[in-house]
Amino acid sequence: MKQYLPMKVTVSIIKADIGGLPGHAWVHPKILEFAAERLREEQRSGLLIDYFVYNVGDDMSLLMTHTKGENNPDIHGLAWSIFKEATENIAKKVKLYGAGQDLLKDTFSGNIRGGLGPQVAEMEFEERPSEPLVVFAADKTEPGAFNLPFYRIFADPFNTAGLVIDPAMHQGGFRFEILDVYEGKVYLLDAPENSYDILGLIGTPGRYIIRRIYRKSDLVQASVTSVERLNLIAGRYVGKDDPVAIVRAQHGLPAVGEVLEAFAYPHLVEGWMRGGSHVGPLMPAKMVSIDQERKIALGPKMTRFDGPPKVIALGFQLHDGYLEGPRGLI
Amino acid sequence: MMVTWRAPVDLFDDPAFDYSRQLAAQITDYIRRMGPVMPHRLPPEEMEYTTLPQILSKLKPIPVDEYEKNRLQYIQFVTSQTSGQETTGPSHD
Repeated sequence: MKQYLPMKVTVSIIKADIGGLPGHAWVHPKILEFAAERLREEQRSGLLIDYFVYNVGDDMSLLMTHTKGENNPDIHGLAWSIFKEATENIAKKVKLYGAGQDLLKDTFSGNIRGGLGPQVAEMEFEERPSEPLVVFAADKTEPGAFNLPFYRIFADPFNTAGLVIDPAMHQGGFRFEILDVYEGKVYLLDAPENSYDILGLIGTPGRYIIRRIYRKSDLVQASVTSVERLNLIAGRYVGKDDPVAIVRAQHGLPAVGEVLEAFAYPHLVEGWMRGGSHVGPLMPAKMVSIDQERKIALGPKMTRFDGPPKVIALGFQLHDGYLEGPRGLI
Repeated sequence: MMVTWRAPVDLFDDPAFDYSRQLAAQITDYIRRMGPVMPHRLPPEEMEYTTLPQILSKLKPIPVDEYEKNRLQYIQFVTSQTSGQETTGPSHD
């Protein structure tokens, strides 16, 4: 009998806003094509197993699978050089609005985290025999926008029936890793035991933000969201950015349908017009087009009042590091 | 024909406000589903007389750089210090 040997794979999403067209509404399609071409070269050279490029509004995300682990300088450097080249060769040439606005420094120091601009969500894990992934990306909002839906998915039995009726989940629930982005401190709290404490914190989504979630019984990681500590500049905390997240589903984790269910309620989030000085509903949005051959998906525009804030969901099936899909799930 | 005047007059008792009431009821229905989360719940500065300060004072968070270096060890424990619950019920005598 052939034995199934699990493969350790890293899924990385690195995203940046390198210029909009017009204003903050959308991304220039040439930028997506350029990024896909560069990633294809790296796939051929063996750095990457697979990749996919997509946008929400004026945010472009590079989804990459590889075996280099999290925080790898080659992977982060590749993303950085793609954003830089796209800025110099395309965004600035056609004078896109805010060209290069997410690239806060001129030089790359080995790791994209820590105030450089682009946002990162990475997860290294052993592939299960079936590995469905849901990739979320939002624009015109903040990472705390996912607090309420992720709580619903992993801690609210009225959203996720599996918490009650699936033995693998019922046995202990989930452990939430919450980052205080003002003070740079991590809280680890369990649902259901510490539910009230979790809600006490994440009810302030501008400060206490869910970053990773683990299944308590075996500490299998279920999700990761791009969240970084904010910088205190001139008395204000700055650096909030549109989030991306990866959620693993099924087989002892919430089902894809339970993951999506939490986004059916368009809760109010901070963001929208003028760098997030408003509040608006988080609208689940459809992709405009998905090209599986070229591995590019064109996402929704931002229109009314530069919004409203939108979130997209792409469903993949991971096998041996390769991405089957995606299917637009919303 | 006699018209009886009664004071005070209920000024919102007019069909002109029926829509406002419906809209308020819809908003109530919508926003209550957010539960204890901002912006339905007020920001922490307005919440001094609630449990938030107590929650924070009993939790022991880990500095993020330290956490990231030793994540696999830290995730085995919670940072809450909840005291043990009473597990015995009332005695049946």
